[in-house]
Amino acid sequence: MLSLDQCADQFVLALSPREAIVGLSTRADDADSRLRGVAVGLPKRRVDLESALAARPQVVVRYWGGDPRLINALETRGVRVVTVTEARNFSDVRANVRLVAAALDRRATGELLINRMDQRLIRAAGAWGGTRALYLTPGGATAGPGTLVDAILRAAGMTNVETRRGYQTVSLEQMALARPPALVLGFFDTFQAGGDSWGIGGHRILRTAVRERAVASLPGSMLGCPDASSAEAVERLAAKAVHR
Amino acid sequence: MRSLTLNLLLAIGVVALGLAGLLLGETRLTFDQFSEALSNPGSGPYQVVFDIRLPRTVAALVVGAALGLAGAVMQGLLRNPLADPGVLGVSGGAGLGAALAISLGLAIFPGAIELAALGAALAVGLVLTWLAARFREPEILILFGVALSAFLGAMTSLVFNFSPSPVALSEVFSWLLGSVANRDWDDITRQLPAMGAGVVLCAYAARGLVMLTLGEEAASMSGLPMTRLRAAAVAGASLLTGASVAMAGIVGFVGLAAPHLVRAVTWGGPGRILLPSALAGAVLLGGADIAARIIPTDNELKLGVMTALVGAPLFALIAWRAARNWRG
Repeated sequence: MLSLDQCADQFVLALSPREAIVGLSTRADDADSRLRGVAVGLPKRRVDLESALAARPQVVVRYWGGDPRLINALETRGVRVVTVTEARNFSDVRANVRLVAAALDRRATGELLINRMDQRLIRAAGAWGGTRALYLTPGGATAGPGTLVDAILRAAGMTNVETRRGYQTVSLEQMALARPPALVLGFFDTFQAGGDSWGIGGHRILRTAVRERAVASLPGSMLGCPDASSAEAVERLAAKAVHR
Repeated sequence: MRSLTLNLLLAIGVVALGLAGLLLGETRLTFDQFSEALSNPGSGPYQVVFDIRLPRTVAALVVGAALGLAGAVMQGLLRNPLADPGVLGVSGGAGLGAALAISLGLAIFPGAIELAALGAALAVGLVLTWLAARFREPEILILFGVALSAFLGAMTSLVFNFSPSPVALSEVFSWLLGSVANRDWDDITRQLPAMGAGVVLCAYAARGLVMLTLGEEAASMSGLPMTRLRAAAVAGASLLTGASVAMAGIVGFVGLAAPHLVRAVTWGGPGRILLPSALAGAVLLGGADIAARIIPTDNELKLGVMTALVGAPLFALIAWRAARNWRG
């Protein structure tokens, strides 16, 4: 098995036996990789045809890594390429897990992973009792309906204040006029949190809102990929409700 | 049009845009909300008008003025209508500095990105200043500037190439597109000392620019310290551009267009068009920013994109006219 990007790494690390992994992406053990501990000691490879073929993989897993020419070149040479897709809800996450598990011939492990994920979702359901909340990244992005983040908020019992579909830039003016009662922070733990501080994240209105109204901060490693770690984000969010 | 009249009209335009910047935005405030903004500090409408719109408006006007002035100085110094700090690589240098700082994660230190942009612009400015002192021919400075610009562009591409993640890449890209959205007072005050120094240097260089209109030989025989004045012009324009990029990212074509718009309606040597060019730059960018706010797109149009969309055809028009003049 070979994975081409950090999100694909999470699927391969969660589903594949260690000895079957011939290569991970170069970001597999970065701080924002959920399964970085498991990745330690495994080979990491650049995303190019020579490196991929040298690893002799039977299956290549990717999310955004690689490009159409590379994929085509790999498939032409008989390598199966599996592409996970963006998840807009937990059904999409389950579909991704099943897709990769089937490709790796690890269906039982996949179902086990899905089962654990569903247990987490059941335990967390309704924890926030409908509290209105806005998701916020350091760069001032938020998420509306049709995103996995929206599904995470709802799964923990929150009502998402953002009504625009998809990922959006948060409106400072709207933040000032209709102050959301609760903020759920995402990616504030990562390298990008620093990188974003020059943008909207540096504005005093946002800084004040974060200081006064943040109820939970979810690590980027739970939010960045359309995989089972999203259920861990729901669990983390629900736990904050209990502590309030 | 007389210079005083033009300056007055442009100043009125700046004030009008300043007011429009407070009145217009993403949210349509009611009369009652404006009243609340004026009477209740700390209220939501107050924050919208004075904490969000006012610093943003000031940033647009200040950056526009700085770029307009820098463009006028460069065009006067090089006696070339196509010259502006972007052509000479100053903007590219500042962009590279910011891109490097973002991708290296230096932004955890407040003001680090801006400092990197300003520092890189100053470094480019120093190289240009040295070249300006060494070579009197403006064409040579332009050629070096073009080469420098291409090199810095390649270095910025290298930053993209080695970007640690798609997120960092998008951050760098977002910076390079240019915007004054969400700028706070801190973003402005950090750049004012550099801008102030730039204005002083440009004002000092103005008399040298006037002499240059008489030709290189006449200027050198005028008794003025031309080498020093030339260096002051380049350094001043570099400071203004670097601080502008540090505040708003790369906003092209304002430095090119503002002096041309001024020259289109009034007559005057390079020294006399500095102030109106600064005011015209403020009007251009102030207007572009308000347009960016009220054009109903899902994601706000970036200023750099908007000015390039308008500026590129203008650039072509200037080139067209210049070609006709050369042909006689």
